[in-house]
Amino acid sequence: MPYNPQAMGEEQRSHAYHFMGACGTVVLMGLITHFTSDLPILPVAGAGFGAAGLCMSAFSGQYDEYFRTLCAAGHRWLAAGLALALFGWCMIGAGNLSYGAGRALGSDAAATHYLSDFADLGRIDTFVIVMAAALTFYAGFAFAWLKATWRAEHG
Amino acid sequence: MKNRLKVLRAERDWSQAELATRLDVSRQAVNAIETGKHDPSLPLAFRIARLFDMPIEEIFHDEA
Repeated sequence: MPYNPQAMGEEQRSHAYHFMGACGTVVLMGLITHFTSDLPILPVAGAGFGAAGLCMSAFSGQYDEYFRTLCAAGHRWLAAGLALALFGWCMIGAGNLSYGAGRALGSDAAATHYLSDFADLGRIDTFVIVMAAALTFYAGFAFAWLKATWRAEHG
Repeated sequence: MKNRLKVLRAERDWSQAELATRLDVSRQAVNAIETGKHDPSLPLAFRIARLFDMPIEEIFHDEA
């Protein structure tokens, strides 16, 4: 194997696992304190650590393949979570649209008048949505690790 | 998939970190392979085989 002066050492690779664990914990604490406390320190730290861990997972080519496997599981969870949220939004929106359109056809009223429920959904705290999405990634990462551990111990 | 990585490592008196350094992976990856949590990719399996100077099938055994 050719010598690469930029190559990571074993310690740096190992630290990546600990860092992901720390990121997941801070994101969870940040999301909880966003609702329970007025102190903005943990939510801000959660956003920062959440971004760092996700960035690390997106550019994980220099880490080892086990780390990339765990990241891939996290990405699948994130995609599934986003798909579920979008599907929920789509169903609620479609229901509202059809209700509004039906009312408009029946009463000559403006359809937009009946879309207030869907418009309210759009006002959900963006911070909560992004943090929940990030948390889904870390949950997937942790789940993949726990599942592999359980399988190794129980066959 | 079962493997003899732990035995081969012990025979050479290497720690998991030492083996990880020789394979360019993390200690966690070595542990995951040894305990059967993770099946290595073909390139990594070849690296392991080359390191121990053994054929792959003497290190890894298919359970099926």
